[in-house]
Amino acid sequence: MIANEWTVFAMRKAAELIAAFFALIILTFAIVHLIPGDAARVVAGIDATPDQVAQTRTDLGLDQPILTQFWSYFSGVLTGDLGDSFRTHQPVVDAIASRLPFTLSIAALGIVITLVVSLALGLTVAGLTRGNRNQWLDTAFGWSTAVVLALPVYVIGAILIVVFAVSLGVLPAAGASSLVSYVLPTLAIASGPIASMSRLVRREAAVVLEQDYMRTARGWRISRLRQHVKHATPNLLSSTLTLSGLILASMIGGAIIVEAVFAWPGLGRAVVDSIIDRDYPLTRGIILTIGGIAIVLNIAIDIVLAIVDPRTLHSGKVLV
Amino acid sequence: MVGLKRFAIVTCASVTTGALMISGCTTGGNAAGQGVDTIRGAWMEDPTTFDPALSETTDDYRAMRLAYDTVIRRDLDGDLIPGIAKSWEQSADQVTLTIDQGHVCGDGTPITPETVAHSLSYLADPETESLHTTGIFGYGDVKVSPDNAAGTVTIDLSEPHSEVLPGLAMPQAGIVCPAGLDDKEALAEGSEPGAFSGPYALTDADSGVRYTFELRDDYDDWPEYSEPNEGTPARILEFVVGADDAVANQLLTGEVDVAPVDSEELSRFGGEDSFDVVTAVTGEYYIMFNHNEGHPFADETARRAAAQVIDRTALRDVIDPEGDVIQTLGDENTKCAVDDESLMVDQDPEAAAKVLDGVSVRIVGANAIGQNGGGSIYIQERLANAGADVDLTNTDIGSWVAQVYDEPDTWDITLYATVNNLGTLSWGLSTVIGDWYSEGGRNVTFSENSTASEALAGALSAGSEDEMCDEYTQAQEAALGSTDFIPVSMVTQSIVSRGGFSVMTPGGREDYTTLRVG
Repeated sequence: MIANEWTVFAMRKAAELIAAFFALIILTFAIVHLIPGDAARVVAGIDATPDQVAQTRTDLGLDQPILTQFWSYFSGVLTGDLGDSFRTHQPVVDAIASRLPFTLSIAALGIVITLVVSLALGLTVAGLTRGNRNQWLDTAFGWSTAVVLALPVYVIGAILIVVFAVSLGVLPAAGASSLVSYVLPTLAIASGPIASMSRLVRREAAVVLEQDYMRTARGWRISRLRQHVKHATPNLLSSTLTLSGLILASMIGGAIIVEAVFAWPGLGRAVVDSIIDRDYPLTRGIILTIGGIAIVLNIAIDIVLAIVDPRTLHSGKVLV
Repeated sequence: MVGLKRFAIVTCASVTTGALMISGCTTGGNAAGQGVDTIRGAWMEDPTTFDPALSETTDDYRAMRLAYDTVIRRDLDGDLIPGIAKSWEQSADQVTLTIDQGHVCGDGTPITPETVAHSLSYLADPETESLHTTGIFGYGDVKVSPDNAAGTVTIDLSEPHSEVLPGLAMPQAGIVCPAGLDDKEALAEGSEPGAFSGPYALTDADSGVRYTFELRDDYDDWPEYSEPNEGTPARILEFVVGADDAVANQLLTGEVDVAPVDSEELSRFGGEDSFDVVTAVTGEYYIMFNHNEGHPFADETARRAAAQVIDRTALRDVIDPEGDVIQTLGDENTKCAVDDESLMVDQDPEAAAKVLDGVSVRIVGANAIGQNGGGSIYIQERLANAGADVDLTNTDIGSWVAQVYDEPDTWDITLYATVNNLGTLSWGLSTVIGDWYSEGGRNVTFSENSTASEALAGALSAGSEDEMCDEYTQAQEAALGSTDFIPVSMVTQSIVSRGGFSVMTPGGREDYTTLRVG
């Protein structure tokens, strides 16, 4: 019976995965054609003659019927060939491969920091304010996280640069030249998620800490740290994992702004440049990659949740 | 409770310690001045190619200048000085270059007349599809012939063209050595060191991140400028890519040594003695009218009215405060440029209002000209104040270019900017007078000023400099006399260098081969 439930679950997830990827391929193809302007003109250059523009259009395959262009793109995606950049003529796969690690690294570091800090902060505040104690802390926590949440990431990035790079001179202002270069972009990308997730953890932990088994644990005089880490944290995992998956997916997409502020050589900055340059293959490839990662992450979280809490096999979240 | 407090304290202490440890690390700044052998700069984007003939972006030109020498160079005041060629002779349809002996390619191959001829033939070949061929050689057939015995290269033109020499001084006309011409793919990638004829060889290209050049050990062919270029050439040049929004911060923190900085950010360096700012020019700003029938500015009276309400100095302050206001499409470094303010239309808003009141005007603008397209917004405000019914489309560069060139029915007026690597009058003038773009020329305004157009053609086919300047003067006076366009100001690029580093601007142009330490 259990094996059957898992089989149905796996088939549904597989179907969702395929449908989402197919939709993504159509979307990425359609979206670049919504960008105004003539890619052939931009690629040929401002000084190109009408003949040169026409030749460029032919060279790029933009004179082909739209269905022919779509089939070329679709069949390429299925074989792992995303074409060549209109601008640099470099294979798109290579261009993405050189930039993806930069985006993934700050997103991964960001989610790790978010999880560690949020769990620690949320649990600590929940513990210290349990039973209406230390109300000032609850208020301060609520206000400070609200302020951080209200600040756009580019403002947080600018503040970090002014304080730590320009004024104190202890961290690089931009670029990815060394390990310390990761500090400010990671802090910038993680600050908002830390605020939102720590609020969630604090709220969930307040409920968990009032449960009977936690009162029992306290009665056994288990240390507070052990109570929280061993008994409370596992019961917070379901909600934090769900949120962290969504946050990680949004971090990869949201890296566009952080990468611009910190001149970070990742996918976010590249997609902006590619749109301006009308570099259709690169734009499509990057959006496909970011979208694909988001789809895989969401499904992976559903699977992890189903393992951690089998009840979700039947929940609306899983059986979308 | 104690355990939880300890946990909180430990967490805070860990975070603080981590921050302090990180803070203890330096930002990797380059110590300025003597003893440094690396200069760190910044580019906007990846170069699209390392083939000079196929280059087309600002960062391409920066890279080409480093890696390839040209037969002719420009002095600080814009005059032509020897490069690979030690002398030259020019007639209306022929240029003869005498090649200086001793120049060598990156692989040690001597640069001979044959080397130069092969490279220029590749540039001139229609099959190369270079965007620069007509600017350099004109519209006719080109034959390039070496004479190794005489040490000369002769360029024969089927149609006279007087701007071959300034064309040959452009980075796009850099001499590609035989190893590059034999392997075009490697040439485009910059992966064939033997292709390089310039002082620096590309040694590392990390797309989207950084480009590194190394000074060639055997290179000693620096141009002899009228003023010495003090300091030592850096052994390594590193250019980070895509840092244009962050580069001012990086200069202030010492992460970058020399970089182009937007004019809005220059005030951050104003009070700092440890920074130098030089201003290079890259082209000209001017207002283009659509002269086509049915458009409001087909009428000369309407064009004059627009000129009567658009204050060129105010517009310059909006779009590029560092640029000089110009009376034609060039400045004092541009050969044959007129500098006669009487050719400009005087301000007269009241007279303009009588003409423009109720007239529908469509402006198409690039949001990169002035902050958020401030230049076009200024024009919109001025025309609207004169009573015109103005519709403004401010868009990105790609859409703007496509609309101006390929959708001429959709706009009446635009604020235009050239990238004038030639440094000649013709580059801008031919976009507003002369043969129409739709008929194989460069004029996108559909103007029909036969006096100006014939004079422009005369200047381009002149056999001497005096004749060329006479014709150019006629062309400028005729075009400005009928307000075919409104010159505004030079397009500038400010380059900020930290103390201990310097850069020069030969002919007012950016040239990173002049980067020096000390």
